[in-house]
Amino acid sequence: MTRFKNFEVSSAIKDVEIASDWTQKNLLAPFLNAACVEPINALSGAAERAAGSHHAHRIAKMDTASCAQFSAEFWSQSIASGLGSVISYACAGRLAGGGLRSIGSTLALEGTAAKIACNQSVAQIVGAGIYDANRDLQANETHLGNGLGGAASFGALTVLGPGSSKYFSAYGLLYRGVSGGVSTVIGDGIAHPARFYDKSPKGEQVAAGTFLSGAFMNMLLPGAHEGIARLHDRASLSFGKGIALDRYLKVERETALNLRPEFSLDKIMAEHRWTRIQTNAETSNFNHRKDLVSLRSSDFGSTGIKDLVHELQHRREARAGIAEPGYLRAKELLLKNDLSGAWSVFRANRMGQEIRARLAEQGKFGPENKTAQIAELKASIPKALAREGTTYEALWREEFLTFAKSKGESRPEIDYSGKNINPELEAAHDKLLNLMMAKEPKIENWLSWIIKRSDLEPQKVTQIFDSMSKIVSNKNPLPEQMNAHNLVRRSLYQIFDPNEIRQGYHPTCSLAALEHVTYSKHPENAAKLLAEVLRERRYITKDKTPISISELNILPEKYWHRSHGNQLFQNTAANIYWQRQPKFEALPDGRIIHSTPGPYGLISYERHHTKDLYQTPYSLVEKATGTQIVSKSPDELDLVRSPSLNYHGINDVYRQINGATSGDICLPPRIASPDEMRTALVDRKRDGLLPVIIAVDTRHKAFAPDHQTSGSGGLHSVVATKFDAHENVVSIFNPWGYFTPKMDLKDLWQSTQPID
Amino acid sequence: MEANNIGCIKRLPLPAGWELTKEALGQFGNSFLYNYAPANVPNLQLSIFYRGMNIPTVSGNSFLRVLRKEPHKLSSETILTVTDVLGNVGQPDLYDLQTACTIQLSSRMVLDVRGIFPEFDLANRTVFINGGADGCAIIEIILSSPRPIYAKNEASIDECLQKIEWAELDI
Repeated sequence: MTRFKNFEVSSAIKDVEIASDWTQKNLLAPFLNAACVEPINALSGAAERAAGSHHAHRIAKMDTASCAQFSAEFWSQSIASGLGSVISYACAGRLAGGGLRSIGSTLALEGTAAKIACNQSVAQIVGAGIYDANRDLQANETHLGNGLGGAASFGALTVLGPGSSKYFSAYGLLYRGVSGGVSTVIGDGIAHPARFYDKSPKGEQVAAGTFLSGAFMNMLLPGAHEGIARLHDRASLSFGKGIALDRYLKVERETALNLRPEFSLDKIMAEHRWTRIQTNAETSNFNHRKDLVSLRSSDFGSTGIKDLVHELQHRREARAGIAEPGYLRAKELLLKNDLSGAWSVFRANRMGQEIRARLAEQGKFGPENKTAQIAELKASIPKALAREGTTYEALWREEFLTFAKSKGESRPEIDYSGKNINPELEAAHDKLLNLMMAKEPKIENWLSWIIKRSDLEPQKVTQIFDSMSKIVSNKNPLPEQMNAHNLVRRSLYQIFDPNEIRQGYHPTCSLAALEHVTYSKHPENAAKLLAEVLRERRYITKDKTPISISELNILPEKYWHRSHGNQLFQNTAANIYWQRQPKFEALPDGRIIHSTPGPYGLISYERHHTKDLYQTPYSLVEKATGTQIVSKSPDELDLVRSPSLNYHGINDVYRQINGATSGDICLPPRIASPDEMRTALVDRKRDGLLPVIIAVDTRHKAFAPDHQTSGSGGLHSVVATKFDAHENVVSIFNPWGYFTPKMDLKDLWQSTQPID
Repeated sequence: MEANNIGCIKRLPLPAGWELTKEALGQFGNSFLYNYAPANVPNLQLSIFYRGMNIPTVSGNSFLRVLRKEPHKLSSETILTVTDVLGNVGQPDLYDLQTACTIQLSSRMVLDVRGIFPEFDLANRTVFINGGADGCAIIEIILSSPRPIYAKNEASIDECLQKIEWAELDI
């Protein structure tokens, strides 16, 4: 029994070995020979012949089994060989196509020559001819004969083959098979004329095998072509090289025709055949030097086709040199030292290009009154965004600078077709624009300035615009005295330039400094705070404490010289601190002692009605009774008018607005030396932690330069926005405004030292 | 009673019965505020005020240009050039400005503005003084009160102003 079992096992193993050997010699070997070995040897042979070398470095073909005519081995070898040839011929066709396109593009061929250079059938004939001409010779073969045979074979296929629309039908496949077989036999006959007369069984077998291989190859070739083309397209797009215009139009043709039937894609193709298209680009533009159109969308859609036509208009003008006379005029003026005149001509030239591209976008459906539209475009284009963060006006100035530096020799390399902002940002932008436009006609400029702040991610800008839209929402408009539109406009300006923030006639320097840092690093949170306070009369801090803000605190101030936005932010910040503190005692020297532990939320920072226009109308009050808290000074019972936040308090409020991960924003007090301050600033600059708030005493000369007004002053907060470690100079934001944009590090350190 | 050594003001005599009612230093920036009032007249107040922070250089230059000329009444256009100097009284929605002219007080040219804060029905006279060398540090002497009281006391305050003494400019 055991012996019988062993016999069965060894027999099974033997069967597997036989089957494996059969598969290798009748399927794998012919497939790999046709797909890999022969192409590699052809390449190697071509390279050696080109180099004049006679050393034949060849890979040996894999052994195939000998087979009887129409045996199983014959069929399998023919099919496998046909499959392998699909790969080698398809690659040869694609390579030849690429080569022909390069030649066509370099020579800027037009008309029929251009069509031929772009034709994939022609490329396949040329590729097959070149490939076959370089294959290793068999008995009675010549390179020329093989090349002609290969070319003839695919030439016949072009004549005989059915259209691609029939490819997937049974008839189409059968027809392809037969035409492929016939074409291959014709080609083989041209390469080996003797085979026409070989009526021996072996000769018949070769002819049948050739027919069969050709048939299978031709059935699969179109699919292989498309597959390789798609891989090639993907690779080109990932490397930023773009794809051929006809490839782009082939994929998008139907969409394009549905969207804009007035555009003739054939005409576009004929005129711009050699340009390449890069999709999913950061911005839509045309690069003259690379002859590359970049489109921000991946498909046509309404934006894609508009952008394409816009950029192709730029290409048309670039090729025709339409702008060149303008540049030459500008150069002439430049060389006469008429910089202003040169700029005017240069700008008008660029404006003209952009206007024509925009008119081209509209195709036949443009307005009838083009004069009015051109006037409108002249007004709007300079302010519009050419690319993210840059208006056309700014872009043209940049270009003109380069133009002027090169003495009129350089030319703008890239034309843009418009702003590139993500859909959410675009929607938020449009919503705010619509809400503001009626009362603030220039609001688009302000919005573009915010987008222009290069350090702001689109998501943050979207949040800012959303919050601002809430402030001016139509659904529940704020009282007229709030002047919501003015608030939004000024707040947008301060987001664009936080140096415009002011403390006004209020002892809120530390809060204005905190506001500056928030507007610099997290303006989206500042905008959210404004919207929330105005709409809800309260603000929820990051630790989930609701901070109530009274009606009077929200009403715009008139006499105290800061913006409504500054008022709202600074009041809310003061309340974020005090409404989260227990009761306290105010000492004569201004210090606050939290000597009464107890529940939080008993104190708030409130505004009062007053006729005294030269004192801040705010003070700390006991929330429940509204009683103003007074300091315990023996000489004077003054109201505690200052929010009195110390170093820890400012950091705490900042985290309550911007989150725990936002870090500290104050340099610690009592820095021992200028070197220590320098190290702190260098470290913070390296870690991206500038701007930083610094406490100074304004009785120092750096802050009180004029003795006629000195004698007052005391603790004050400023913001170090930048630090030039090379020059030891600190850029300063002072909430007073108009003061000391830059300070020497030593002077700044000196100002932090106590006087008394 | 007199006010002594406040910024560029060395001495300002005040009518009899007046006293210092408030002193607030460094409320905002390097500000100072001194309030004086007669004990027996409520709602009448004279303040010496520095806003604690300089105005922009361009506005300071405009102020100097105005002060360098002979005493004159300012046109509407000129008033617009010194809006930053005027502060609250330069804002038409807050202040009904009646006259703005330059005058000499003890040989020093100052800007003298008179008008009304309609929201509070307060008559006002503010004298703007160049507190430094560059016209950017503005010191204000402010007289304000309800109109009838103001009319009764205006002349006596004006007499005091004519006797003002200045500190030497040491820059």
